Amino acid sequence: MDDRFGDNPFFVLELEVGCTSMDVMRQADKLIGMLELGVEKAATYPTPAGDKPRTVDKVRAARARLLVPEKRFFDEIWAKARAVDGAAAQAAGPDLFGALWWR
Amino acid sequence: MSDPLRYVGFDLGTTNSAAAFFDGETVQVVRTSQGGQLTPSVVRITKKGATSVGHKARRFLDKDADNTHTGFKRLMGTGKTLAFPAAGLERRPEELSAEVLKSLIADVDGQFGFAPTRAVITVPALFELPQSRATTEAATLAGLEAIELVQEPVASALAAGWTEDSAGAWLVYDLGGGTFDVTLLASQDGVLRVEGHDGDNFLGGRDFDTAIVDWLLTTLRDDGCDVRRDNPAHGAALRTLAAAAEEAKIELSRSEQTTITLVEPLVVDGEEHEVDVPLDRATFERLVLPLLDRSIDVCLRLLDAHDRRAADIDRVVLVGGPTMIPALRARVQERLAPLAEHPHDPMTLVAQGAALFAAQAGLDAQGATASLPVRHERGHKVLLKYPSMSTDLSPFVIGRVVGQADDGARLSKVIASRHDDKFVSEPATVEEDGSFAISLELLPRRANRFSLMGQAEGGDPVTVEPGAFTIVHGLTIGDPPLSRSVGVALANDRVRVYFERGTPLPAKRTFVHHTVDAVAPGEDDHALVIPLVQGEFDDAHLCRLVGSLDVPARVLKEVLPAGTQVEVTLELDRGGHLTAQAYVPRIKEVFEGVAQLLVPACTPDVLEAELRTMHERIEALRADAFRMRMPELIAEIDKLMPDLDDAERGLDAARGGDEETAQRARRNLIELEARVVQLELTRDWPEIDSEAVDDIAFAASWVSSLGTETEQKLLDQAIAQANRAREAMDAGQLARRMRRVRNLGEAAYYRHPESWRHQFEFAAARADEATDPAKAAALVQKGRAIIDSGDHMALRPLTEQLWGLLPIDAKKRQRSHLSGVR
Amino acid sequence: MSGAAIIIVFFVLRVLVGTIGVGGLGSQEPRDRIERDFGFLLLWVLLGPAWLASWVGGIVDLNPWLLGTALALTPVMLPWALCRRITMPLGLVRMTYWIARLSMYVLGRDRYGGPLLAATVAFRQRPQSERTRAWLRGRYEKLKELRGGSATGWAVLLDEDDDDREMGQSRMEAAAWFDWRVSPAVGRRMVGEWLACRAIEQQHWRAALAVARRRESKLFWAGPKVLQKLGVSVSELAQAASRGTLDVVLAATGSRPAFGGSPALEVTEAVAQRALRDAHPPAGVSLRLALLRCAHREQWQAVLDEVSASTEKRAQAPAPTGDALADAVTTHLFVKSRPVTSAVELHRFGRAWEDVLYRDDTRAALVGRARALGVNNPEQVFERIEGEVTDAIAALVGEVDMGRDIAEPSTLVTMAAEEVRDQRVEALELCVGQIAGRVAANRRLPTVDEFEEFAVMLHLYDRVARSAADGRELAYSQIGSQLTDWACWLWNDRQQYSLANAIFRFCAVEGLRTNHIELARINLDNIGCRGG
Repeated sequence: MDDRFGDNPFFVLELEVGCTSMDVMRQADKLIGMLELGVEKAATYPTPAGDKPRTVDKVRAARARLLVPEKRFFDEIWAKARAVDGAAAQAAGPDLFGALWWR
Repeated sequence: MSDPLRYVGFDLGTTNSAAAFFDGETVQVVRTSQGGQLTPSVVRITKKGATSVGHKARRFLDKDADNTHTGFKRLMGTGKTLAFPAAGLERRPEELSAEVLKSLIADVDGQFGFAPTRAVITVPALFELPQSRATTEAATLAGLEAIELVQEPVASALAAGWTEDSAGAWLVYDLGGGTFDVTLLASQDGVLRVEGHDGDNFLGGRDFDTAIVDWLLTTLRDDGCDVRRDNPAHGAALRTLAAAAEEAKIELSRSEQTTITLVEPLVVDGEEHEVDVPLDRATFERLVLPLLDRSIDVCLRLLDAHDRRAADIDRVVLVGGPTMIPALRARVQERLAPLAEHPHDPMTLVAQGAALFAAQAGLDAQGATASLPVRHERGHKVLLKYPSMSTDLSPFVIGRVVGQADDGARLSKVIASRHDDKFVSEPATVEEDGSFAISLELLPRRANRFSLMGQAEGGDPVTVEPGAFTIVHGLTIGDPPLSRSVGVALANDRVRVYFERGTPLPAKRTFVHHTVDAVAPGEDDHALVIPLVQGEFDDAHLCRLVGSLDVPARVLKEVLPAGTQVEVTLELDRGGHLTAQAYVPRIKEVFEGVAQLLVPACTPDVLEAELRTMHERIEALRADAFRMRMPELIAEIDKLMPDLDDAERGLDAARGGDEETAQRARRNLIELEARVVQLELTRDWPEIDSEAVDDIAFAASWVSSLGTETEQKLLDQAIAQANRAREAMDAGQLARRMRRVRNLGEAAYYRHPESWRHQFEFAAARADEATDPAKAAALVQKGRAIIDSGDHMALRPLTEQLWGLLPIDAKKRQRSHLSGVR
Repeated sequence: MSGAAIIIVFFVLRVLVGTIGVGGLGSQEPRDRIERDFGFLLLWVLLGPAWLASWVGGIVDLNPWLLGTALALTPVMLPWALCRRITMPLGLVRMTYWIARLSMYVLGRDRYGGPLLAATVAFRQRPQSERTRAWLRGRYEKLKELRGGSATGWAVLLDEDDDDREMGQSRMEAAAWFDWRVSPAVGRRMVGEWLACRAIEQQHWRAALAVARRRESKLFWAGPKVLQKLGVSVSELAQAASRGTLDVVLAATGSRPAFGGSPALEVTEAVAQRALRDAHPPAGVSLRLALLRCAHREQWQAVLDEVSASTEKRAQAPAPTGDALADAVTTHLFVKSRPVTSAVELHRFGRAWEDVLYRDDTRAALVGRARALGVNNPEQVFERIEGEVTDAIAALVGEVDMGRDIAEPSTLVTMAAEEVRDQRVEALELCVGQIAGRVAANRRLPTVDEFEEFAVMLHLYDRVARSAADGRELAYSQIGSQLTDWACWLWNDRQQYSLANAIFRFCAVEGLRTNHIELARINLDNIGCRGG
């Protein structure tokens, strides 16, 4: 998991921090099925850093992480994040390279 | 779905193989054509080229040893071939394993009337990537179209868990012919999870036989029959005795006493000796007790590594023939935990687990999948997705309408009902995009069949195709985890880990590296080498090199200067197949393909050289330990000796052409090296520490007199860090911190006018070690002239050139598998 | 006049022009600007009237011979104008190169590299064939001596190839270290403009301002004799460096704008001043004039307007809620989701994590939760979380300039910064170590690749310098002398006077800034060297 927020298993699976292992398995199976059938509403998930695309690999990775207590504990910490204003909104500053006469 | 469920699993073992079949409710071990459950992993090719496998071939193991091979599983992925001189053929281990698989497939066909094309095959927990890939290749050669690999202990646990109920921690204790593996698993909410592995590559049933043979040799010697292990002429006699010992061992699992008798007299140095020696169970148990305790120590080590105690373990699952020994069972219960409640057949448990895993993976033996094809004409056609095997008693089935019924009525709701009529789902609404999700209820430990019915908008029932499906309830396991970490060796002899042990497969990761050396087209002996290693060590040279992604200078059109960015992507599929690619943004080119994905060859020469070095290191260590009066160190060194002896035996076996044992010995030597490194550190620590103290004093004195304020601050910080590393006895950290301390000290020291003259003299004294002694001599001469002229500062570049000729960095590169990236 | 005569005149002029070329750093007698200007004055005096007369006569009489002569002489009389207005915009690479070879007035400081720079700009104007690309690269690789023009051209060429702006920046910075006497003014302007755009892109307004105002001390082209004249010692320079007044002292030695005059840089200065809320924003008239002279002035205007308007738009840090963990994590998200953060902000954020990790009540709550989840050894996991947090902070440290002292430092951030600094120093050492190994083994790379290694080294050096307040000192103490050796080898063995000089300058300036007086003195002496 490289992005603590965007790839957080709790966000990927849209589960609460207190969920059981069974909830994890059930939700992962359900989402994998939906993704494999191309069901649109499974294609993205909300995170405090904005909506992210969901893939079968992400769901499987999320399931695997949440079944390991140590990893789950770690992910719970990051799942506490609240949405912040302007998160992911400001990208880079103005690109003026194209305005140079020689470029 | 009207078709019956058919899942097949294969245990492709070193000594014996087995197949199992699972129909969704019960697991059956497949009978061989001979009526047994095990197929010996033995292949023979006759003069006419006819291949025989299993029992038929095993009969020729002694009689026609040259043309009959076993134990080839250990050679998988090594690139070695095995000769069948009578037929004039050579076969790779993958091809021989394929023969065994074909035989197992034929047995399934014989018993169940179909030849599986999709199946699960088990591999040892600590198989490396090349070995897993070779197993996949064997399956393809045997005609299987789709396979999944699962680790043996996971399969055993699944099989045991199929009949056990409780959650908690388990140990799978797997004692094979030559190796011992133990796996710690945790089961929660019906989901199994591998927590960790450990093992001993030199402990197995054969060691029990050896113990009996050693006892037998002493007994026979008393009777005037002197058979010696170190006498090559006694090889045949020893093999005969070993076979007899194995039989006695098996017999003693059933009865209290047995007699070791040979049908024909034993011929030793031309003399014939009758062998007729009684052996009782008590003696046998006394002989093998140290071996049993060694295996249990490994288990406790594994538990310790995971912060658990024996009391935390709920049960132990025994796997492998030797686990039928009563003393072993008693010892395990005494020192570890109770055995699994239900009686399991330790010989076929792995195959059974493989069949269960096939169900979880939805790998129907003949290609039906959980996503059902639309085959019938009438009714609304839907695609369904559901877990073929589920731990969850309330799973979902997800569907999507892909075709309207002939009558044109729109499907509005879908209902599932279980075949025992005790469960009917809530009607699930079909969404705008045609999808629906139904929550089901399963009966535990059963194959649950459901019918699917549709409702049109007005509530009229309509047919849905397919109209039925089956979900098996049972213990499942998450995605197969990676058994050893995989990464890229870096130029500084460190490892950049791409996939940590336990990473669920498949997995893919990309990291950015930078080259450390320029590679120019035309420099044909140069290449950018990206070594791929597997192992748990921080130091690259202690990990196994499993492949290498090379960018040879000759394929380049332009120079890649040092520091060029290289994006390396490694991808591992579920079967442990590794692909690697390197993208160089600067030239917009992608280099693919792992140049070599083999377990490195292990010739007797290589092994002998490594063993010699290891002996020398250990002896030097011992001598130093005596000299320095370090009794704890001596005790630790003594603990290395049995492993070294085992490696010696491996070398003997390698000389006799037994590549399998040689590979095992090599693997153990690597682990031994890691332990030796640790002990060397313990030995060297007083010296390292005192050197550090001296260097700190040197730096502190020069920086305080000639250093700047910032240098003083930096030094204080570096000294504090170094002291922390000293307290923790962390040599790696200390070396890094001390480098800074020294550099700061030197920066101040070199401000002193005389400093470069001292440095020059010091380097000049080592000039004979230089990589280019002639150049070094010339530099020394030039330096002396400069000293005479009195311009000491002019010595600086010269001295530094001299340092560059002293061979330190080259050694480090060599150890990092010649990595060209950082 | 016959065609043959025209060709003969052309070649005679070509030879004449060739001899007027300005000597470089390595030549015995570097000629100065007056001499060059005089050469062109001579050219114009000799041929100008004839050329003008040919045009007038050709047009008035519609005489094809006169028109032909006038046309044939145009590349000689106005080569740069022809390139700049016609062949470069049309993307005619080879033609640009050959005509630019005649442009001694504009490109003469880098007689072979300057035309390559012009050809590279032409190359970038439209999609080109692989053959043209190979031809261009081949020209670079065959260059006998890399000077400022070719270094800039090379950076421009790779800037197109490479999406890595960070590395592009290092190449441009590397090109900026070349002496102005070996760098055509147009190339220096390009370097300055590129660096300005980069700073604006990163919203590093102080950096943008510094680029726009950068000046080059006379010390670096006249050598230590300037110090003798002024009566300033190297030690005094170093003291000034440690007081942060090196630039002031250097300015006193006499200086010139580092990148020459460029309207884009003037606008950049205004943009940066507005973004930084300068008390005296630039006056309207001069700015308007600069904007008028800018290519794509509407884009510059838009940025200027945007910067002026965006004062209130800054994202606000999330307000604390009392739940220390949620606050720390949310702050983490906030800090990570924005491109630029200051060291002060990072330390504040580090302290938020410390409130979670080192306060008894929050720690106890976390341990309790870990136990409930079935974690065997919560303390161990706790350490791991701490490590993960440190890693996360370390990643942020990598993005922020940590190169100054902080009033209320966070221990977590300080420790992470040390770790990052160590890793970066190691990378720098590896890079310079392999260069030193190559020098010892006398392994020669094409000059452009030696330059590339200089750029890589600058990149790594800058990363170390930015990673901690003492990063610069540390980096220089590890590599200063090896770099000096490399430059000496480039000078002595490879006659790469300009590149060697650039490295000497870097070593001298950094030596002064890090108080390595001896090395700084050696490198200052080396700057004063004449090769050949």
